[in-house]
Amino acid sequence: MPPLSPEDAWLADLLRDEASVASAEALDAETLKALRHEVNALRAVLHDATATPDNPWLWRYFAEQARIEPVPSSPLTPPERRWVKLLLTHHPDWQKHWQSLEEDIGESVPMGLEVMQRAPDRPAHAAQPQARVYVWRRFLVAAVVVIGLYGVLWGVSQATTPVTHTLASLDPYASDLAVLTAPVRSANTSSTDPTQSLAQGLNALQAAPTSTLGLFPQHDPAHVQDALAHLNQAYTETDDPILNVTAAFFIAKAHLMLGDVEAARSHLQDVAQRNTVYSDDAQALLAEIVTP
Amino acid sequence: MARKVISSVLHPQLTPNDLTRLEYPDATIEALRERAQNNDTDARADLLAWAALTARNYFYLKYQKGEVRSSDEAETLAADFLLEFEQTLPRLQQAARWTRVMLTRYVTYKRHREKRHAERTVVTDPQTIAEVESAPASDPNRHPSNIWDDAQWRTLQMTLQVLNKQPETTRNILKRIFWEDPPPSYQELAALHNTSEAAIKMRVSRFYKAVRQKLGHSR
Repeated sequence: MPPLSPEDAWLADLLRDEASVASAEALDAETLKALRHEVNALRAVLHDATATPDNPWLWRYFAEQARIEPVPSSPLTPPERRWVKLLLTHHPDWQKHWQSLEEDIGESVPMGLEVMQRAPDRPAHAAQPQARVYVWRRFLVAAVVVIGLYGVLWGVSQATTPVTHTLASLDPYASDLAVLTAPVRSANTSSTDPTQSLAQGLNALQAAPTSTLGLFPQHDPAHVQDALAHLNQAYTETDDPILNVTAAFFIAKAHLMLGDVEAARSHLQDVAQRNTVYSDDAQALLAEIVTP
Repeated sequence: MARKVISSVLHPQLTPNDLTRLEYPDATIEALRERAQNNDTDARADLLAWAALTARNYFYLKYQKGEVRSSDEAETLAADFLLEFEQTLPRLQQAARWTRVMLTRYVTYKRHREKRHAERTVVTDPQTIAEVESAPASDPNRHPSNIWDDAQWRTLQMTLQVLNKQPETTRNILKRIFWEDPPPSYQELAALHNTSEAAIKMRVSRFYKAVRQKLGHSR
């Protein structure tokens, strides 16, 4: 097997990594043969790929595109035209040469390049996983937008909600209300029983708060007025001091729900000075009402 | 139309009439052509004088740029062009435009002929342009792409894609490697590009690896 020529030897030096040997001399005959074949094949392709633009084929294509009459030579064959257009598409040197020809003749000449089809890098079915990722990505983006929008609206809701609305909250008294609103059945119970009136009033009061998806909270005035009617009845008719102070406290809450601060203050002061259940809560609310 | 550039080498040889002819606008040239095609001998003489001057000026300008080797060669090329112009005149449709395009061909073909002579692939000398162009597709003077199959086209396209991504210096190095006979050594290329042999080898090595990866040869 003849040794590689000098011009091939340096190519073999580069390719010897594949053979995992220290030098070209260590290659066996079969590996040398395979390398020579690969070198020659690569050389031929690279010879065509690095062709300089000052060749008759490019010029004849230029003359074709310039549409001069008569045509000075026999036309390019379809493969020759294809080769020229391929190198014009990919080779900056060819594009520069085309421009220099245009400068020589003093006019622009279209290259007439259609989109050269690229060699596919991956099979078609690889598009499906991409489609699924695309759907999830859109969903995620939509979720982020919705959450962001809710956050903005929540901020606006917080900023526009009156202080009295917050002070009127029944949340800290859920367990008390569960007991106070339980139906009471006794032989002496009548519809005007203060305990029943209190329960009915508290039930109506609990039904008063409304909101839109937790935003922009309000109190239904009808429920609040209904609650006040029952609570006032309980306040005036009961002899039980605990029931009385309880009714007074939640009457104050009802007035806060309606935004009537002065009416609420009156009942809260009544509860605060009795030093019994809800007195501390009444004093805390009075401090909030006074503070601007 | 922009004022014509006159070769400073040719200029001293030109008469005032010559300079006037060189500045003929396209409309004047087409008018002369029509009259010449209708057997007006004065118009024909004027038109041929214009063609000769235009060709000489073009090739002398190329000589000044180093694209033509000598003033003698410039004169030879101009004479070749004039011969073809005269032969084609009866069929010419746009004399001025045809002239401008055709002049670019002479320099291109000359370089190509010289290159093929150096590669020893041209069969005989003298080889006229007509012989080259009328050769069948299988003739070695026609382009090899005439007998490529689909795999060869695909290989070339992928190779070009890799080549196009290389920096200009790498492309210039590769051009010299594949178009010079014999190809330059690493030492010559390193000296030319003012760098080390290792740097040249690395550029070429990276390019080869990229090509082989693209073509699916790498393991």
